Amino acid sequence: MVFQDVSVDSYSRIHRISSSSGGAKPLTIAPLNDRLLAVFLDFLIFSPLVGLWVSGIYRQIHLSSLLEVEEGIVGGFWILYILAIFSSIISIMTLFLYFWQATPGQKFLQLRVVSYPSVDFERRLTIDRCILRSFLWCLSWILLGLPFLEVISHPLRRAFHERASDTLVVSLKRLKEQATLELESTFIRNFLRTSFVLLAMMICGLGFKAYDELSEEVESSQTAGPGDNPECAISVSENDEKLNPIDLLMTLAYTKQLDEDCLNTQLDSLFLKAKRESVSFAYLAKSMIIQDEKEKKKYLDRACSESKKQEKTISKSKDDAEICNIATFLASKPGSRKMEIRASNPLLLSRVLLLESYMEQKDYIPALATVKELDHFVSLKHFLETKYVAAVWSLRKADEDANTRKPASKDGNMEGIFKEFEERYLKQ
Amino acid sequence: MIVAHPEDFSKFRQFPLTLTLLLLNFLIYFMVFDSPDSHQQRHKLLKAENLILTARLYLQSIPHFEASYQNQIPEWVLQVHRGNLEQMEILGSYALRDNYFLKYGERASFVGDQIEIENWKGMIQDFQKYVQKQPVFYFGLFHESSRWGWITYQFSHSGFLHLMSNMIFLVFSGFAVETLVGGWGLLAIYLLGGLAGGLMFLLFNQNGALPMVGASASISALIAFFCLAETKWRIRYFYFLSPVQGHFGSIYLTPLLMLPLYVLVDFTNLLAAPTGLNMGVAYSAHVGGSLFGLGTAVFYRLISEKQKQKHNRPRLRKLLFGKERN
Repeated sequence: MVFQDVSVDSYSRIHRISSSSGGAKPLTIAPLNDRLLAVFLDFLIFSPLVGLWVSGIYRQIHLSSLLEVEEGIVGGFWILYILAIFSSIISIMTLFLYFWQATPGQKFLQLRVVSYPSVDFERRLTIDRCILRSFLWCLSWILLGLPFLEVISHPLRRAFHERASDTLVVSLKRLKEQATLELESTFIRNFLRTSFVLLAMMICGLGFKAYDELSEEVESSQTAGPGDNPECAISVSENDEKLNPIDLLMTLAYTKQLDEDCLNTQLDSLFLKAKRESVSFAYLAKSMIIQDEKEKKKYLDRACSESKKQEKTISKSKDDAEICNIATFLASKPGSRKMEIRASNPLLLSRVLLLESYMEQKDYIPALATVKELDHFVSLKHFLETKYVAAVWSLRKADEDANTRKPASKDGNMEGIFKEFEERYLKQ
Repeated sequence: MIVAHPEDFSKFRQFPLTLTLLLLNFLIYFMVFDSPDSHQQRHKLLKAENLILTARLYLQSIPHFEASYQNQIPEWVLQVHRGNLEQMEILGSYALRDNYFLKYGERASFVGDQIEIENWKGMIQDFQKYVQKQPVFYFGLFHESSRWGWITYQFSHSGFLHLMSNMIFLVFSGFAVETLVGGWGLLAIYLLGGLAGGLMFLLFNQNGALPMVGASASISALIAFFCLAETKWRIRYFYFLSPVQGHFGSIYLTPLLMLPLYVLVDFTNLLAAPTGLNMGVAYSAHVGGSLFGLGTAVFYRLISEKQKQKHNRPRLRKLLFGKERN
């Protein structure tokens, strides 16, 4: 048959009767493999029970780590979780040891925990002895299970938790004596000593590392402002701060100085504000990160139509009148497009596009003038430097090559430009 | 390592119904779920950027939901940070499983990038058509499934690993239960356990848009029944600690040992997983099946006790009166 009925109770009863009926019967110390198997079975039985008990705390940890709650709170949950696990294991083990003199795994393998040196099968272990044994058993796991190795080396196979609680694990089976070999015992003793030294060193190392990380975190939290997101951080100077923030955002999006995810997050909040003046800017900014030409066109058209709606509904704003102008420029093919600025106080983006337009038209002298005009905006530093170098380089090339068509702006003060360039870059 | 280790595999042919159920599960999987049509490309709505957009729109819609439904929304949904893309992605995949939101989303007017929102609405309609084309939709169990869905979901599996893991447990629990209660008993526990699991799943996922498939609720019922119905039996397990002699061999353990391992674990997982974040495993269905199995086992024990008493009564009369009455 596949499943057999092999009850172990009958055997243990016979054994108990024979041992209590008198006669100095030698004890059988629990063999190593039975003890290992008992621990394994205990793990299989206890883990779902303990898991059920601590499931509520685990749920909180799961949620806290998902929602990135403060580290201190998550740490608190973890400590509570570990304490709950250990306390439930200690309680379950104590109950089993007190009433059965064995854990479920030991019961299956016919092992019993008895008091030592006065061994008595019929007398129950005292409750304090059960608690102490269970507590030290858990403590041994915290020390990476190293104290359990004494089961191999000790002549009576008594580990630290058994010696401390004056207990001994015996087998109810009639087994051949399995004494510990001297060589085995020496090896395990030495291994234990070395392991404990290494463990102590590891704990010290981890302690120092944790201290370092903690002090670094404290320093960074002192320097960073509240709500700062380092991934989306952009360098903003006083001049930049005077600008319309949406204008700056669009300009940074155009000059590709803002991460796409950061831009999307910013745009999301702009769209949610649902103010018409911000919405038209938001569509414009969004068009700058769209790769698909058809989609891009949709966004530019929408930006223009939104700004026109605003012109009709709200008071006419010079900023919004420029939106269509910018959209038309961005929708045109590079090389053939020309930017025009009519407003007296144009947007930063308009001025950047004007620079782009000059560069495309190979009109380098006004391009350099625009670069100079925008030079005080720190967040555009990299973009402006690129344009400046490109413009000067093209002017010099055109100047050196007499056969090429001379740029339209040849009449400008070329010598002064080259001198300034040399002073800025070559004399460093 | 410890695994159940039957003594004689040739005895397995004595269990025709377990083998029939096994074949049926395999047949349905290879005929329907493993067909080339079922391996469709992942829908574009499941891409990270679209999931984030879905999450944004979901957060916008919550205040417009009916008050009774708002109370059913898990707390963590409202605590998600809009700026954290990882969290928004998780929320997006949760939102796509919310039937209420999917229906609401098609007709709602959202604040935000209207071009993106129009595209999203198109994708949602396309996604629903895509889901309806999946075999899981025809064979699975959900609120709007047909009456047959209650039976067909018990024989359907979404992947080969899903099928194999269930079938291994079906072999061991099926043979044991068929020995105890016969073929009809096994069939009744399998089907009714599946129904109980389905009921529990629907109770816990009142607005779930995705159907459930798998024999796990039925198998949970079989395992739970076996654990409690006959506790005096012993199952042979093979253990291996090391290659040293005496460190490996066979051990006979009571079926009760399986109760925490297979039944309690499902209860634990159901309680430990935050609502809507159960990683695709329908623990509620497992729990429903297990509860049915445990209940049936208690009923079985009561009946077998009565039968034993009935069986013993004539003997008692024989002892008292010296002969049996007709």
